[in-house]
Amino acid sequence: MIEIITIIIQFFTLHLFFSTPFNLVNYKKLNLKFSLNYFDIIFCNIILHIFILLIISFLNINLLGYFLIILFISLITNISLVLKNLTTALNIYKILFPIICLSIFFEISYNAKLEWDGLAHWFWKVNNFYQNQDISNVKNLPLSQYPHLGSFVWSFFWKNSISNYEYIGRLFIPYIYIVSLFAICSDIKNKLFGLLFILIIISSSYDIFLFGGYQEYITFAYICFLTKLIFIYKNNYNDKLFSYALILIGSISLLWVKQECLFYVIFFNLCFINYISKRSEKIVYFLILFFSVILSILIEKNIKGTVQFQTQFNFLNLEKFKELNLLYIYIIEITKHIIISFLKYPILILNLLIFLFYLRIKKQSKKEFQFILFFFLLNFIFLYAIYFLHPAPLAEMLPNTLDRLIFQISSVGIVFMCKWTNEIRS
Amino acid sequence: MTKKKLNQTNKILILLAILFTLIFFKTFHNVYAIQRSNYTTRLVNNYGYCDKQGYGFVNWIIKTRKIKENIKIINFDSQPDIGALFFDFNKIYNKNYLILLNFNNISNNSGSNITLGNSQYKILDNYHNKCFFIKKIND
Repeated sequence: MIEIITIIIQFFTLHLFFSTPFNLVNYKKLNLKFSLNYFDIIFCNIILHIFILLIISFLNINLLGYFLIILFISLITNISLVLKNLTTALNIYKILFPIICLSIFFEISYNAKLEWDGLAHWFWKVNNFYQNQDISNVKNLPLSQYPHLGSFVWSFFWKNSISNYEYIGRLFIPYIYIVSLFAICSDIKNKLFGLLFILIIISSSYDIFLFGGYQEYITFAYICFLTKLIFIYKNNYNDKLFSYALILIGSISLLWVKQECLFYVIFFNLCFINYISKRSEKIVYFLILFFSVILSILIEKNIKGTVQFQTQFNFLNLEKFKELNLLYIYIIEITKHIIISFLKYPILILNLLIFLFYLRIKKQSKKEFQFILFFFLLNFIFLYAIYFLHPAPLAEMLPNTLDRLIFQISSVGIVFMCKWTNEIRS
Repeated sequence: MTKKKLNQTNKILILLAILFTLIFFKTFHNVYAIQRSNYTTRLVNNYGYCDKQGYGFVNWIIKTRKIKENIKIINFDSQPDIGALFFDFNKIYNKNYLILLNFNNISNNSGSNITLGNSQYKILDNYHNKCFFIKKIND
Protein backbone atom coordinates (compact mmCIF):
# COMPACT_ATOMS: atom_id res chain seq x y z
CA MET A 1 0.00 0.00 0.00
CA ILE A 2 2.92 2.33 0.79
CA GLU A 3 4.21 1.96 -2.76
CA ILE A 4 0.81 2.82 -4.24
CA ILE A 5 0.57 5.91 -2.05
CA THR A 6 4.13 6.85 -3.06
CA ILE A 7 3.15 6.66 -6.74
CA ILE A 8 0.06 8.83 -6.15
CA ILE A 9 2.16 11.35 -4.22
CA GLN A 10 4.69 11.37 -7.07
CA PHE A 11 1.92 12.24 -9.52
CA PHE A 12 0.87 15.21 -7.37
CA THR A 13 4.50 16.23 -6.89
CA LEU A 14 5.10 16.25 -10.65
CA HIS A 15 1.86 18.11 -11.22
CA LEU A 16 2.64 20.68 -8.57
CA PHE A 17 6.22 21.10 -9.77
CA PHE A 18 5.11 21.75 -13.34
CA SER A 19 2.24 24.06 -12.34
CA THR A 20 4.50 27.05 -11.96
CA PRO A 21 5.66 29.70 -12.99
CA PHE A 22 2.90 30.01 -15.62
CA ASN A 23 -0.73 29.38 -14.74
CA LEU A 24 -4.07 30.11 -16.37
CA VAL A 25 -4.27 33.52 -14.66
CA ASN A 26 -0.79 34.99 -14.86
CA TYR A 27 -0.02 33.96 -18.46
CA LYS A 28 -2.68 36.44 -19.60
CA LYS A 29 -0.35 39.24 -18.49
CA LEU A 30 1.84 38.24 -21.45
CA ASN A 31 -0.86 39.76 -23.69
CA LEU A 32 -0.94 36.86 -26.10
CA LYS A 33 -3.48 36.85 -28.90
CA PHE A 34 -3.88 33.11 -28.73
CA SER A 35 -5.26 31.29 -25.74
CA LEU A 36 -3.48 28.45 -24.07
CA ASN A 37 -5.35 25.60 -22.44
CA TYR A 38 -4.61 24.13 -19.02
CA PHE A 39 -2.26 21.46 -20.41
CA ASP A 40 -0.49 23.90 -22.75
CA ILE A 41 0.52 25.90 -19.72
CA ILE A 42 1.79 22.83 -17.92
CA PHE A 43 3.88 21.96 -20.96
CA CYS A 44 5.27 25.50 -21.15
CA ASN A 45 6.34 25.03 -17.54
CA ILE A 46 7.84 21.63 -18.40
CA ILE A 47 9.95 23.21 -21.17
CA LEU A 48 11.05 25.99 -18.84
CA HIS A 49 11.92 23.73 -15.89
CA ILE A 50 13.73 21.15 -17.97
CA PHE A 51 15.78 23.94 -19.55
CA ILE A 52 16.63 25.28 -16.09
CA LEU A 53 17.58 21.74 -15.04
CA LEU A 54 19.83 21.54 -18.11
CA ILE A 55 21.66 24.67 -16.95
CA ILE A 56 21.77 23.40 -13.36
CA SER A 57 23.31 20.13 -14.58
CA PHE A 58 26.43 22.07 -15.61
CA LEU A 59 26.68 23.88 -12.29
CA ASN A 60 26.99 22.72 -8.72
CA ILE A 61 23.65 24.00 -7.48
CA ASN A 62 21.69 22.48 -4.62
CA LEU A 63 19.01 20.43 -6.37
CA LEU A 64 16.94 19.84 -3.26
CA GLY A 65 16.83 23.60 -2.67
CA TYR A 66 15.61 24.25 -6.21
CA PHE A 67 13.03 21.47 -5.93
CA LEU A 68 11.63 22.72 -2.63
CA ILE A 69 11.53 26.36 -3.74
CA ILE A 70 9.55 25.48 -6.87
CA LEU A 71 7.17 23.25 -4.92
CA PHE A 72 6.66 25.94 -2.30
CA ILE A 73 5.99 28.68 -4.88
CA SER A 74 3.62 26.40 -6.76
CA LEU A 75 1.79 25.43 -3.60
CA ILE A 76 1.31 29.05 -2.51
CA THR A 77 0.20 30.07 -6.03
CA ASN A 78 -2.29 27.24 -6.30
CA ILE A 79 -3.73 27.86 -2.84
CA SER A 80 -4.18 31.56 -3.62
CA LEU A 81 -5.88 30.69 -6.93
CA VAL A 82 -8.27 28.39 -5.11
CA LEU A 83 -8.97 31.00 -2.42
CA LYS A 84 -9.62 33.69 -5.03
CA ASN A 85 -11.83 31.24 -6.91
CA LEU A 86 -9.74 31.66 -10.05
CA THR A 87 -9.31 28.00 -10.84
CA THR A 88 -11.07 26.62 -13.90
CA ALA A 89 -13.95 24.21 -13.57
CA LEU A 90 -13.40 20.50 -13.57
CA ASN A 91 -13.87 19.05 -17.04
CA ILE A 92 -13.58 15.61 -18.59
CA TYR A 93 -9.94 16.17 -19.47
CA LYS A 94 -9.03 17.06 -15.92
CA ILE A 95 -10.84 13.95 -14.69
CA LEU A 96 -9.25 11.61 -17.21
CA PHE A 97 -5.72 13.05 -17.04
CA PRO A 98 -4.80 11.78 -13.54
CA ILE A 99 -6.48 8.44 -14.24
CA ILE A 100 -4.38 7.85 -17.37
CA CYS A 101 -1.19 9.11 -15.72
CA LEU A 102 -1.65 6.96 -12.65
CA SER A 103 -2.56 3.92 -14.74
CA ILE A 104 0.72 4.24 -16.65
CA PHE A 105 2.62 4.89 -13.42
CA PHE A 106 1.20 1.68 -11.93
CA GLU A 107 2.13 -0.30 -15.02
CA ILE A 108 5.70 1.04 -14.89
CA SER A 109 5.83 0.22 -11.20
CA TYR A 110 4.57 -3.32 -11.80
CA ASN A 111 7.14 -3.91 -14.56
CA ALA A 112 9.82 -2.00 -12.64
CA LYS A 113 12.65 -3.27 -14.83
CA LEU A 114 14.84 -1.24 -17.13
CA GLU A 115 15.04 -2.43 -20.69
CA TRP A 116 18.28 -2.90 -22.62
CA ASP A 117 19.35 0.67 -23.34
CA GLY A 118 17.95 1.90 -20.05
CA LEU A 119 20.06 -0.55 -18.11
CA ALA A 120 23.18 -0.63 -20.24
CA HIS A 121 23.51 3.07 -21.03
CA TRP A 122 21.06 5.55 -19.52
CA PHE A 123 20.99 4.27 -15.96
CA TRP A 124 24.75 4.73 -15.55
CA LYS A 125 24.23 8.44 -16.05
CA VAL A 126 21.19 8.48 -13.75
CA ASN A 127 23.18 6.73 -11.04
CA ASN A 128 26.05 9.15 -11.59
CA PHE A 129 23.85 12.16 -10.81
CA TYR A 130 21.90 10.32 -8.12
CA GLN A 131 25.12 9.68 -6.25
CA ASN A 132 26.11 13.35 -6.44
CA GLN A 133 28.79 12.88 -9.08
CA ASP A 134 29.09 15.87 -11.33
CA ILE A 135 28.81 16.10 -15.08
CA SER A 136 32.56 15.77 -15.67
CA ASN A 137 32.31 12.14 -14.53
CA VAL A 138 29.96 11.31 -17.42
CA LYS A 139 32.96 10.86 -19.73
CA ASN A 140 34.04 7.85 -17.65
CA LEU A 141 30.71 6.04 -18.11
CA PRO A 142 29.63 3.55 -20.80
CA LEU A 143 28.54 5.32 -23.99
CA SER A 144 29.52 8.69 -22.58
CA GLN A 145 28.70 10.34 -25.90
CA TYR A 146 24.98 9.93 -25.14
CA PRO A 147 23.49 13.21 -23.87
CA HIS A 148 22.67 13.46 -20.19
CA LEU A 149 19.57 15.65 -19.79
CA GLY A 150 16.96 12.87 -19.64
CA SER A 151 19.08 10.98 -17.12
CA PHE A 152 19.65 14.13 -15.10
CA VAL A 153 15.92 14.90 -14.82
CA TRP A 154 15.28 11.24 -13.98
CA SER A 155 17.82 11.36 -11.15
CA PHE A 156 16.42 14.74 -10.03
CA PHE A 157 12.93 13.33 -9.45
CA TRP A 158 14.29 10.08 -8.03
CA LYS A 159 16.47 11.92 -5.54
CA ASN A 160 13.67 14.27 -4.56
CA SER A 161 11.04 11.60 -4.05
CA ILE A 162 9.85 10.26 -0.74
CA SER A 163 10.92 6.73 -1.63
CA ASN A 164 14.01 5.05 -2.92
CA TYR A 165 12.43 3.25 -5.87
CA GLU A 166 14.39 3.97 -9.04
CA TYR A 167 11.32 3.97 -11.32
CA ILE A 168 9.79 6.89 -9.40
CA GLY A 169 12.37 9.15 -11.05
CA ARG A 170 11.39 8.20 -14.59
CA LEU A 171 7.67 8.74 -14.08
CA PHE A 172 8.19 12.26 -15.41
CA ILE A 173 8.51 10.70 -18.90
CA PRO A 174 4.93 9.31 -19.10
CA TYR A 175 3.76 12.49 -17.38
CA ILE A 176 5.08 14.78 -20.11
CA TYR A 177 3.90 12.34 -22.80
CA ILE A 178 0.34 12.49 -21.50
CA VAL A 179 0.47 16.27 -20.96
CA SER A 180 1.53 16.76 -24.58
CA LEU A 181 -1.37 14.65 -25.86
CA PHE A 182 -3.90 16.42 -23.65
CA ALA A 183 -2.46 19.78 -24.72
CA ILE A 184 -3.26 19.10 -28.36
CA CYS A 185 -6.53 17.20 -27.89
CA SER A 186 -8.04 19.66 -25.37
CA ASP A 187 -8.34 22.14 -28.21
CA ILE A 188 -10.85 19.97 -30.02
CA LYS A 189 -14.14 21.82 -29.58
CA ASN A 190 -16.28 18.73 -29.18
CA LYS A 191 -15.04 17.39 -25.86
CA LEU A 192 -16.26 13.87 -26.42
CA PHE A 193 -14.55 13.74 -29.78
CA GLY A 194 -11.42 15.07 -28.07
CA LEU A 195 -11.71 12.37 -25.44
CA LEU A 196 -12.06 9.70 -28.10
CA PHE A 197 -9.07 11.14 -29.95
CA ILE A 198 -6.90 11.01 -26.83
CA LEU A 199 -7.78 7.36 -26.28
CA ILE A 200 -7.07 6.52 -29.92
CA ILE A 201 -3.71 8.32 -29.89
CA ILE A 202 -2.65 6.75 -26.60
CA SER A 203 -3.65 3.25 -27.63
CA SER A 204 -1.79 3.68 -30.91
CA SER A 205 1.39 5.13 -29.42
CA TYR A 206 1.70 3.50 -26.01
CA ASP A 207 4.57 1.07 -25.56
CA ILE A 208 5.53 0.04 -22.03
CA PHE A 209 8.93 -1.12 -23.36
CA LEU A 210 9.88 2.49 -24.14
CA PHE A 211 9.11 3.48 -20.55
CA GLY A 212 11.83 1.07 -19.40
CA GLY A 213 14.48 3.76 -19.34
CA TYR A 214 14.32 4.89 -22.96
CA GLN A 215 14.07 8.60 -23.77
CA GLU A 216 11.95 8.40 -26.93
CA TYR A 217 8.79 9.71 -25.30
CA ILE A 218 10.58 12.91 -24.25
CA THR A 219 11.38 13.67 -27.89
CA PHE A 220 7.88 12.59 -28.92
CA ALA A 221 6.25 14.96 -26.39
CA TYR A 222 8.54 17.89 -27.15
CA ILE A 223 8.07 17.65 -30.91
CA CYS A 224 4.33 17.36 -30.35
CA PHE A 225 4.07 20.49 -28.25
CA LEU A 226 6.58 22.58 -30.18
CA THR A 227 4.64 21.82 -33.37
CA LYS A 228 1.50 23.01 -31.65
CA LEU A 229 3.24 26.23 -30.64
CA ILE A 230 4.14 26.85 -34.27
CA PHE A 231 0.56 26.36 -35.37
CA ILE A 232 -1.11 28.58 -32.77
CA TYR A 233 0.88 31.78 -32.69
CA LYS A 234 -0.67 34.81 -34.32
CA ASN A 235 1.11 37.58 -36.14
CA ASN A 236 1.55 39.61 -33.00
CA TYR A 237 4.81 40.69 -31.32
CA ASN A 238 4.13 39.10 -27.91
CA ASP A 239 2.90 35.88 -29.46
CA LYS A 240 5.99 35.58 -31.60
CA LEU A 241 8.37 36.35 -28.78
CA PHE A 242 6.67 33.79 -26.53
CA SER A 243 6.56 31.07 -29.20
CA TYR A 244 10.07 31.71 -30.55
CA ALA A 245 11.54 31.65 -27.04
CA LEU A 246 9.81 28.39 -26.10
CA ILE A 247 10.62 26.70 -29.41
CA LEU A 248 14.23 27.79 -29.04
CA ILE A 249 14.75 26.58 -25.47
CA GLY A 250 12.74 23.45 -26.23
CA SER A 251 15.02 22.75 -29.21
CA ILE A 252 18.16 23.36 -27.16
CA SER A 253 16.90 21.01 -24.44
CA LEU A 254 16.17 18.34 -27.05
CA LEU A 255 19.81 18.47 -28.19
CA TRP A 256 20.75 17.16 -24.75
CA VAL A 257 18.18 14.36 -24.69
CA LYS A 258 19.28 12.08 -27.53
CA GLN A 259 21.97 12.15 -30.18
CA GLU A 260 19.58 11.88 -33.11
CA CYS A 261 17.75 14.92 -31.75
CA LEU A 262 20.46 17.07 -33.33
CA PHE A 263 18.97 16.11 -36.70
CA TYR A 264 15.36 16.40 -35.51
CA VAL A 265 16.11 19.87 -34.15
CA ILE A 266 17.79 20.96 -37.39
CA PHE A 267 14.94 19.60 -39.57
CA PHE A 268 12.23 20.94 -37.27
CA ASN A 269 13.73 24.40 -37.13
CA LEU A 270 14.46 24.51 -40.86
CA CYS A 271 10.77 23.86 -41.47
CA PHE A 272 9.87 26.41 -38.80
CA ILE A 273 12.13 29.07 -40.33
CA ASN A 274 10.46 28.38 -43.66
CA TYR A 275 7.11 28.85 -41.87
CA ILE A 276 8.05 32.25 -40.39
CA SER A 277 6.71 34.92 -42.71
CA LYS A 278 9.04 37.89 -41.98
CA ARG A 279 12.50 37.70 -43.52
CA SER A 280 14.18 39.66 -40.70
CA GLU A 281 12.69 37.32 -38.09
CA LYS A 282 13.85 34.31 -40.06
CA ILE A 283 17.42 35.61 -40.02
CA VAL A 284 17.42 36.57 -36.32
CA TYR A 285 15.86 33.25 -35.28
CA PHE A 286 18.29 31.29 -37.46
CA LEU A 287 21.31 33.12 -36.03
CA ILE A 288 20.23 32.60 -32.42
CA LEU A 289 19.54 28.93 -33.08
CA PHE A 290 22.81 28.47 -34.94
CA PHE A 291 24.87 29.98 -32.12
CA SER A 292 22.91 27.99 -29.53
CA VAL A 293 23.68 24.73 -31.34
CA ILE A 294 27.35 25.68 -31.69
CA LEU A 295 27.46 26.64 -28.00
CA SER A 296 25.87 23.31 -27.04
CA ILE A 297 28.47 21.42 -29.09
CA LEU A 298 31.31 23.43 -27.53
CA ILE A 299 29.99 22.79 -24.02
CA GLU A 300 29.76 19.08 -24.77
CA LYS A 301 33.30 19.07 -26.15
CA ASN A 302 34.51 20.88 -23.05
CA ILE A 303 32.87 18.33 -20.75
CA LYS A 304 33.63 15.12 -22.59
CA GLY A 305 36.80 16.15 -24.40
CA THR A 306 35.28 15.18 -27.73
CA VAL A 307 31.98 15.28 -29.62
CA GLN A 308 31.15 12.07 -31.39
CA PHE A 309 28.24 9.90 -32.33
CA GLN A 310 27.78 6.36 -31.09
CA THR A 311 29.13 5.17 -34.43
CA GLN A 312 31.68 6.84 -36.64
CA PHE A 313 29.87 7.57 -39.88
CA ASN A 314 32.14 7.51 -42.86
CA PHE A 315 31.34 8.34 -46.46
CA LEU A 316 33.73 5.55 -47.45
CA ASN A 317 30.95 3.19 -46.34
CA LEU A 318 29.15 4.24 -49.51
CA GLU A 319 31.79 2.50 -51.60
CA LYS A 320 30.08 -0.81 -51.01
CA PHE A 321 27.18 0.43 -53.14
CA LYS A 322 29.30 0.08 -56.25
CA GLU A 323 27.39 -3.16 -56.39
CA LEU A 324 23.94 -1.97 -57.45
CA ASN A 325 22.40 -5.14 -56.11
CA LEU A 326 23.40 -4.15 -52.57
CA LEU A 327 21.79 -0.76 -53.05
CA TYR A 328 18.48 -2.42 -53.91
CA ILE A 329 18.78 -4.73 -50.92
CA TYR A 330 19.37 -1.76 -48.61
CA ILE A 331 16.41 0.19 -50.00
CA ILE A 332 14.11 -2.83 -49.77
CA GLU A 333 15.24 -3.76 -46.25
CA ILE A 334 14.92 -0.22 -44.87
CA THR A 335 11.51 0.21 -46.50
CA LYS A 336 10.40 -3.16 -45.13
CA HIS A 337 11.33 -2.10 -41.60
CA ILE A 338 9.62 1.25 -42.05
CA ILE A 339 6.42 -0.65 -42.87
CA ILE A 340 6.96 -2.90 -39.83
CA SER A 341 7.34 0.27 -37.70
CA PHE A 342 4.00 1.52 -39.00
CA LEU A 343 2.39 -1.70 -37.83
CA LYS A 344 4.20 -1.64 -34.49
CA TYR A 345 3.21 1.97 -33.76
CA PRO A 346 -0.18 2.58 -35.43
CA ILE A 347 0.16 6.30 -34.62
CA LEU A 348 2.33 6.38 -37.74
CA ILE A 349 -0.68 5.20 -39.74
CA LEU A 350 -2.66 8.10 -38.24
CA ASN A 351 0.08 10.37 -39.55
CA LEU A 352 -0.44 8.93 -43.00
CA LEU A 353 -4.10 9.90 -42.84
CA ILE A 354 -3.19 13.60 -42.91
CA PHE A 355 -2.22 13.15 -46.51
CA LEU A 356 -5.78 12.04 -47.19
CA PHE A 357 -7.11 15.03 -45.25
CA TYR A 358 -4.99 17.35 -47.36
CA LEU A 359 -7.59 17.34 -50.10
CA ARG A 360 -10.22 18.76 -47.76
CA ILE A 361 -8.26 21.34 -45.75
CA LYS A 362 -8.74 25.05 -46.00
CA LYS A 363 -6.23 27.22 -47.81
CA GLN A 364 -4.76 28.74 -44.62
CA SER A 365 -3.82 25.27 -43.40
CA LYS A 366 -1.78 24.51 -46.47
CA LYS A 367 1.29 26.23 -45.01
CA GLU A 368 1.02 24.01 -41.95
CA PHE A 369 0.64 20.98 -44.17
CA GLN A 370 3.79 22.06 -46.02
CA PHE A 371 5.60 22.25 -42.68
CA ILE A 372 4.67 18.66 -41.87
CA LEU A 373 5.39 17.40 -45.36
CA PHE A 374 8.90 18.88 -45.41
CA PHE A 375 9.58 17.70 -41.89
CA PHE A 376 8.66 14.11 -42.74
CA LEU A 377 10.52 14.29 -46.03
CA LEU A 378 13.74 15.46 -44.38
CA ASN A 379 13.40 12.83 -41.69
CA PHE A 380 12.86 9.98 -44.12
CA ILE A 381 15.87 11.10 -46.19
CA PHE A 382 17.81 11.14 -42.91
CA LEU A 383 16.61 7.62 -42.07
CA TYR A 384 17.77 6.14 -45.34
CA ALA A 385 21.04 8.11 -45.23
CA ILE A 386 21.90 6.98 -41.72
CA TYR A 387 21.57 3.28 -42.58
CA PHE A 388 23.45 3.73 -45.85
CA LEU A 389 26.36 5.29 -43.96
CA HIS A 390 26.27 3.02 -40.92
CA PRO A 391 29.10 0.48 -40.86
CA ALA A 392 27.14 -2.19 -38.93
CA PRO A 393 25.17 -4.87 -40.79
CA LEU A 394 21.57 -3.93 -41.55
CA ALA A 395 20.14 -7.08 -39.97
CA GLU A 396 21.66 -6.05 -36.66
CA MET A 397 20.67 -2.39 -36.77
CA LEU A 398 17.25 -2.14 -38.39
CA PRO A 399 15.06 -4.26 -36.08
CA ASN A 400 16.42 -2.52 -32.96
CA THR A 401 16.54 1.10 -33.96
CA LEU A 402 14.43 2.13 -36.93
CA ASP A 403 11.01 1.87 -35.26
CA ARG A 404 12.15 4.13 -32.42
CA LEU A 405 13.67 6.67 -34.79
CA ILE A 406 10.37 7.05 -36.66
CA PHE A 407 8.23 6.88 -33.53
CA GLN A 408 9.84 10.00 -32.06
CA ILE A 409 8.67 12.18 -34.90
CA SER A 410 5.21 10.63 -35.18
CA SER A 411 3.58 13.26 -32.99
CA VAL A 412 3.85 15.97 -35.64
CA GLY A 413 0.99 14.71 -37.77
CA ILE A 414 -1.48 14.32 -34.93
CA VAL A 415 -1.10 18.00 -33.99
CA PHE A 416 -2.24 18.86 -37.46
CA MET A 417 -5.08 16.35 -37.26
CA CYS A 418 -6.43 17.87 -34.03
CA LYS A 419 -6.31 21.35 -35.51
CA TRP A 420 -7.85 20.16 -38.73
CA THR A 421 -10.68 18.43 -36.84
CA ASN A 422 -11.85 21.80 -35.54
CA GLU A 423 -11.67 23.37 -38.96
CA ILE A 424 -13.69 20.69 -40.63
CA ARG A 425 -16.31 20.67 -37.89
CA SER A 426 -16.73 24.47 -37.82
CA MET B 1 -35.34 16.89 -21.63
CA THR B 2 -33.14 16.31 -24.69
CA LYS B 3 -30.29 18.25 -23.03
CA LYS B 4 -30.64 16.19 -19.87
CA LYS B 5 -30.52 13.01 -21.94
CA LEU B 6 -27.41 14.31 -23.71
CA ASN B 7 -25.71 14.99 -20.39
CA GLN B 8 -26.52 11.50 -19.26
CA THR B 9 -25.09 10.11 -22.49
CA ASN B 10 -21.95 12.19 -21.92
CA LYS B 11 -21.57 10.84 -18.42
CA ILE B 12 -21.93 7.28 -19.67
CA LEU B 13 -19.33 7.93 -22.37
CA ILE B 14 -16.93 9.42 -19.84
CA LEU B 15 -17.39 6.40 -17.61
CA LEU B 16 -16.75 4.16 -20.60
CA ALA B 17 -13.58 6.13 -21.37
CA ILE B 18 -12.38 5.69 -17.79
CA LEU B 19 -13.21 2.00 -17.92
CA PHE B 20 -11.36 1.65 -21.22
CA THR B 21 -8.31 3.34 -19.66
CA LEU B 22 -8.35 1.07 -16.63
CA ILE B 23 -8.68 -2.04 -18.79
CA PHE B 24 -6.18 -0.93 -21.44
CA PHE B 25 -3.45 -0.29 -18.87
CA LYS B 26 -4.45 -3.34 -16.76
CA THR B 27 -4.68 -0.95 -13.82
CA PHE B 28 -6.61 -3.28 -11.50
CA HIS B 29 -4.14 -6.09 -12.09
CA ASN B 30 -1.13 -3.80 -11.67
CA VAL B 31 -2.40 -2.25 -8.44
CA TYR B 32 -3.18 -5.72 -7.08
CA ALA B 33 0.27 -7.01 -8.10
CA ILE B 34 2.08 -4.02 -6.56
CA GLN B 35 0.08 -4.57 -3.39
CA ARG B 36 0.87 -8.30 -3.32
CA SER B 37 4.59 -8.30 -4.12
CA ASN B 38 7.21 -5.86 -2.96
CA TYR B 39 9.62 -3.94 -5.19
CA THR B 40 12.51 -6.40 -4.86
CA THR B 41 10.28 -9.38 -5.61
CA ARG B 42 9.00 -7.67 -8.75
CA LEU B 43 12.56 -6.87 -9.82
CA VAL B 44 13.54 -10.51 -9.33
CA ASN B 45 10.47 -11.60 -11.33
CA ASN B 46 11.39 -9.24 -14.16
CA TYR B 47 15.19 -9.45 -14.20
CA GLY B 48 15.31 -13.12 -13.13
CA TYR B 49 17.09 -14.73 -10.19
CA CYS B 50 19.84 -16.62 -11.91
CA ASP B 51 18.49 -16.38 -15.43
CA LYS B 52 18.19 -13.30 -17.70
CA GLN B 53 20.00 -10.42 -15.94
CA GLY B 54 20.30 -12.35 -12.69
CA TYR B 55 19.15 -9.57 -10.40
CA GLY B 56 18.12 -11.92 -7.62
CA PHE B 57 21.48 -13.68 -7.33
CA VAL B 58 23.52 -10.45 -7.47
CA ASN B 59 21.25 -8.76 -4.93
CA TRP B 60 21.50 -11.75 -2.60
CA ILE B 61 25.31 -11.87 -2.81
CA ILE B 62 25.68 -8.14 -2.18
CA LYS B 63 23.28 -8.22 0.77
CA THR B 64 24.53 -11.36 2.47
CA ARG B 65 28.27 -11.04 1.79
CA LYS B 66 28.34 -7.38 2.83
CA ILE B 67 31.14 -6.57 0.41
CA LYS B 68 32.28 -3.00 0.70
CA GLU B 69 33.58 -2.58 -2.84
CA ASN B 70 32.09 -2.83 -6.32
CA ILE B 71 32.22 -6.28 -7.86
CA LYS B 72 32.49 -7.00 -11.54
CA ILE B 73 29.52 -8.94 -12.90
CA ILE B 74 29.94 -11.09 -15.99
CA ASN B 75 26.81 -12.34 -17.70
CA PHE B 76 27.51 -15.15 -20.16
CA ASP B 77 24.07 -14.74 -21.68
CA SER B 78 23.38 -11.96 -24.17
CA GLN B 79 21.86 -9.57 -21.65
CA PRO B 80 22.56 -5.97 -20.67
CA ASP B 81 24.91 -5.52 -17.72
CA ILE B 82 23.02 -5.20 -14.46
CA GLY B 83 26.07 -3.72 -12.74
CA ALA B 84 24.74 -0.15 -12.97
CA LEU B 85 21.98 -1.00 -10.47
CA PHE B 86 24.51 -1.93 -7.79
CA PHE B 87 27.39 0.38 -8.64
CA ASP B 88 28.58 2.79 -6.00
CA PHE B 89 30.67 5.67 -7.38
CA ASN B 90 32.32 6.22 -4.03
CA LYS B 91 33.76 2.71 -3.93
CA ILE B 92 36.50 1.07 -5.94
CA TYR B 93 36.32 -2.24 -7.84
CA ASN B 94 37.52 -5.26 -5.94
CA LYS B 95 39.38 -7.19 -8.61
CA ASN B 96 39.57 -10.34 -6.50
CA TYR B 97 35.87 -11.06 -6.62
CA LEU B 98 33.63 -11.84 -9.58
CA ILE B 99 29.97 -12.68 -10.04
CA LEU B 100 29.28 -14.99 -12.95
CA LEU B 101 25.77 -15.25 -14.32
CA ASN B 102 24.42 -17.86 -16.74
CA PHE B 103 27.80 -19.60 -16.66
CA ASN B 104 27.40 -22.99 -18.34
CA ASN B 105 31.00 -23.84 -19.11
CA ILE B 106 31.27 -27.06 -17.07
CA SER B 107 34.75 -27.87 -18.38
CA ASN B 108 36.09 -24.84 -16.50
CA ASN B 109 34.29 -25.82 -13.33
CA SER B 110 36.01 -28.42 -11.12
CA GLY B 111 33.45 -28.31 -8.32
CA SER B 112 35.26 -26.01 -5.93
CA ASN B 113 37.30 -23.97 -8.40
CA ILE B 114 36.66 -22.21 -11.71
CA THR B 115 39.25 -21.38 -14.34
CA LEU B 116 38.78 -18.13 -16.24
CA GLY B 117 41.53 -17.29 -18.68
CA ASN B 118 44.79 -17.96 -16.86
CA SER B 119 43.34 -17.38 -13.43
CA GLN B 120 41.95 -19.80 -10.89
CA TYR B 121 38.98 -18.75 -8.79
CA LYS B 122 37.54 -20.33 -5.67
CA ILE B 123 33.76 -20.75 -5.67
CA LEU B 124 32.26 -18.96 -2.68
CA ASP B 125 28.65 -19.33 -3.77
CA ASN B 126 27.10 -21.54 -6.36
CA TYR B 127 23.50 -21.37 -7.49
CA HIS B 128 22.42 -24.39 -9.56
CA ASN B 129 25.84 -24.57 -11.23
CA LYS B 130 24.83 -21.53 -13.25
CA CYS B 131 25.52 -18.46 -11.13
CA PHE B 132 28.68 -18.13 -9.11
CA PHE B 133 30.31 -15.81 -6.67
CA ILE B 134 34.04 -16.44 -6.94
CA LYS B 135 37.28 -15.22 -5.44
CA LYS B 136 40.66 -15.18 -7.13
CA ILE B 137 43.13 -17.70 -5.71
CA ASN B 138 46.50 -16.10 -4.98
CA ASP B 139 49.32 -17.49 -7.10
